Amino acid sequence: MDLPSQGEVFIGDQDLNLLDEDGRARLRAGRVGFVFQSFYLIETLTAIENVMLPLELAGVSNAKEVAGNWLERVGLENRGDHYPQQLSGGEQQRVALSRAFAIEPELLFADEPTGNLDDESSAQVTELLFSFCHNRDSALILVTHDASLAARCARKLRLVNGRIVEE
Amino acid sequence: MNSTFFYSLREIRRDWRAREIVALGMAVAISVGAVTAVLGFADRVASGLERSAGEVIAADIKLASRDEFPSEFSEKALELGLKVAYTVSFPTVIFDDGRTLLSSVKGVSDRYPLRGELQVQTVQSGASVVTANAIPARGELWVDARVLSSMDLALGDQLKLGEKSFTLGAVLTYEPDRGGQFFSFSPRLMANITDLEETGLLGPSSRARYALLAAGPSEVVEQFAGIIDDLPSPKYTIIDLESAQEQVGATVTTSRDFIGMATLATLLIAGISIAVASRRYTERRRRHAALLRCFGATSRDVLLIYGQTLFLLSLIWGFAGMLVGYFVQEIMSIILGEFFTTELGEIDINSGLVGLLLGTILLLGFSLPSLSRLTRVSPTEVLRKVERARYHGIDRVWHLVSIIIFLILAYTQTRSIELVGLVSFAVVGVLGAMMGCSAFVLTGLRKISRGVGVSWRFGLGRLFRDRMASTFQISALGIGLTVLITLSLIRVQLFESWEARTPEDAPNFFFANIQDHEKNSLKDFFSTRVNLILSFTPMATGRLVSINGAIPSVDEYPDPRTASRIDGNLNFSWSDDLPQGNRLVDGEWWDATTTEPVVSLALTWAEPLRVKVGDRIGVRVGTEEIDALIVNIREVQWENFNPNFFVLFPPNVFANAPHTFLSSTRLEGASQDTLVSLNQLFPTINIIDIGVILKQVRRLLDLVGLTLNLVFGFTLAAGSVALYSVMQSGHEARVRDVAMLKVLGCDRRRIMMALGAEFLTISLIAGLVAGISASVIGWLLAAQIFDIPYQFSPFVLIFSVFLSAIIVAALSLSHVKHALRTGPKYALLWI
Repeated sequence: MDLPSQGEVFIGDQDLNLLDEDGRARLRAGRVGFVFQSFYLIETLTAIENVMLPLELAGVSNAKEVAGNWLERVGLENRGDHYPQQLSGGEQQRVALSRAFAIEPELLFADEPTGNLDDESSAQVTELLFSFCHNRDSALILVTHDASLAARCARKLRLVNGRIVEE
Repeated sequence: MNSTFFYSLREIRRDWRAREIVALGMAVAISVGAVTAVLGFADRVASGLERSAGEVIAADIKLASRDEFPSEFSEKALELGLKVAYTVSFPTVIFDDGRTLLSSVKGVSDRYPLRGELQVQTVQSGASVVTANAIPARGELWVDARVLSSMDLALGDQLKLGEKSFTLGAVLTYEPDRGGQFFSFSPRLMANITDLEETGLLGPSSRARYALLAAGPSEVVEQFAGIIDDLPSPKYTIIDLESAQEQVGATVTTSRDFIGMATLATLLIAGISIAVASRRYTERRRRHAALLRCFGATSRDVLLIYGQTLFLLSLIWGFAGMLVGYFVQEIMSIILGEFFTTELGEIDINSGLVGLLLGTILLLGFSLPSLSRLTRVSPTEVLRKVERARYHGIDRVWHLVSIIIFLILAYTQTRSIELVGLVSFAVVGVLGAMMGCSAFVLTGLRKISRGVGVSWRFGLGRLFRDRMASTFQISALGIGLTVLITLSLIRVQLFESWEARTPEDAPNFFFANIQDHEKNSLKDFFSTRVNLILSFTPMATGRLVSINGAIPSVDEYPDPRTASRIDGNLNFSWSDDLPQGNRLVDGEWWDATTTEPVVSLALTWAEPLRVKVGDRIGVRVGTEEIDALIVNIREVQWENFNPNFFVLFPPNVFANAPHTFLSSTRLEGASQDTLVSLNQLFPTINIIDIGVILKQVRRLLDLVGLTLNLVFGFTLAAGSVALYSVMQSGHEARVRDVAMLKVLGCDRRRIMMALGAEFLTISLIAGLVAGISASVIGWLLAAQIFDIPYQFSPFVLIFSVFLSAIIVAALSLSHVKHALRTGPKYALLWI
């Protein structure tokens, strides 16, 4: 999504500095998934269309079927035709998780994925996030203020004022 | 001053450059500028037209009579502060050295002409034409050049008129009020009115026509016209500015209607852009309003804060618009000065104040529905963002209030209930068509989009997700387009119709009193000398002796002009076919071979006499009298300057009546020199120069064209701002969605396709409906208001869609660029 102000960033053996914006978009489409604190579903698309979107961008032919399966796995098989505004926060984040996992990314970024959720939804989403990463063997990079959530990660970096103070 | 006012001031200081505020302000500035410029300009045009019209009668009001005016008339006029002059004119035959010439004598008093000026050539000035500073001196005659050539005289020679001898002092080249009566034109002899008493020619059988001329401020002239009815009167005809402009009257009325309509359209479009921009303005301030509510602001405080902000904005931008309006007035004044060759007075300050008032009312009126929704913002919106406010029943009331405000403004600008009614009907119709059509198409697309690719689905999804907003956007764009296309169509058709009515090659010379035996030699004269083919129209003179068998009395017709038709001579002609520039409005044209006594009347002649198809009129020529059945009524286009007649018969009905012929042609530059020889070869033919009138008409058409273009320019500007505001709506959501698409891996090409799908759909629906609506409204306006022919063209539809696509592309280009430039990290900053 952004380039480093100095140094290099590799995803696999791909140097991001060597890619233009479209190149980076194609890289994201096939290999990277995102989950945001505010869900960021596209409000003009239904839940299933939101999940289909990255699949179609990656050229998956049976996008609808795959998206339907993912919604089923997060327990939203009956909410596919609903627009984001018709869903609760927990439901929206589960759609966002389906959207992120649908392309089976090698790398998943999650930015405060439970920050806007109540305890019950938070627990549900956390469970789904870690189990999917585990099952798909995806790397998860998680940003959080929640110590219990951070505790479930294999490697932890603590940042204070933009600097790593603890590993 | 309460705290809400200071908050409003801070709001303006902080946000004055925000896009929606600039769009809102520009819409206000344009509407204020348009009203300021058009009102001020209209006043100047009106005064210019008055001067121009005044020239035709050499005054602001002219009373014409067969009898001399008693002194009470001039006393009353002078008492009111008007300038007064007299004229008297009569035909006479002049004799000199065995030559004779039928001529028209005109005696004029001091101060004549009150409008326009006399132009002469004197011995001193030689061939150059100079403006006369006074009327002919006592004992002096000013004459047409034709008098000198026909009578073989020169300036300085003596010429006897009745019992008095005059010195030929100047050649009269221009006399402003000469164009009034085409067929009374014989060469002019102008003298001081006092001298004419001594000629002994003004006896009871002299056929003299007296005129009292008066000029001054229009309200005083009107006052004078209002009180002369009470004076002991001779029978007189009032010729005012309106009637003086018979040849161009229709054009002036039409152009006034168009200016009214274009101003209305400008206000309407400005209203749309204000409504769109204020909706966006208030939507972007929902979070602020929610915070204010959290801190204890009541809905009244919220209304005050944003209402005051909008009011202050309207003052600031309205003031800028007012300056633009004054500037345009000044520019137009310079251009008008060239048209009218006169000073047109100071800038009309009032027009700016009226403009500012209208702009403010327009802004507050059209913002009411949005402001109303802002007052209903709940404090909980601080915690949970609401993208768009819910529609509430009270919104309908506010919409109604803004519509009523618009209708009142529209009426104050046009003073025509018919026009306001038609435009309102059209707007409602177009809005209904737009909403119906976009709802239908969007529903259809919703179904189709399930099977299309991601770009199309994304683009179309944006449209049907918030169908209300999309319909609003498409409708606003469509109405803006409809107005612009309708005005363009009408403007083009008006110009075409005017050009056709008064073409560049309209005849500038008339030849009257041509005898049957002179036709061939006159034809040969023109074909050999200037290579022109003449055609001839017969003309006979009779009297109207009966209407439906009864002898008409002038007392039954209070209108002096109508009375003179009963009292005076009746010129008529006959024709096989409906003459060019005439249109049947009732009845059928006749078979050319008919010998039945039937007659065709011009509408403007038949209406005041209260006769219609099926009635009969009796006409006497010499000893022959015919009681003719009216079989049709014609509308005559006087502006084409071809010989036209109020009364026409079939060729065989009055074939034996004594008659002469009329002809007309266009002679440019050097070919006019042949008129000297023509006059010598055919001394009895009257040559009538209508070039001056023609020039006046064309000058007026140019002026009207200029006015139309000016008003149209403002409408276009207002339209552009409206369309820009429309395309701006939903822009933030678009940028956010594009950023999100980028996060998910969508490349530039697909994003462009997605945005393209959205914009293409908008422009297609808006363009199609606008094209159809503009064609129908154009036809309605042409038929109902402007009375001009209208041609439906499929190109309008193609043009409309094409224009719509171009406008949408041009206006959305910056938005697309902005959206494409927005990096995916924007998604993370999205609050």
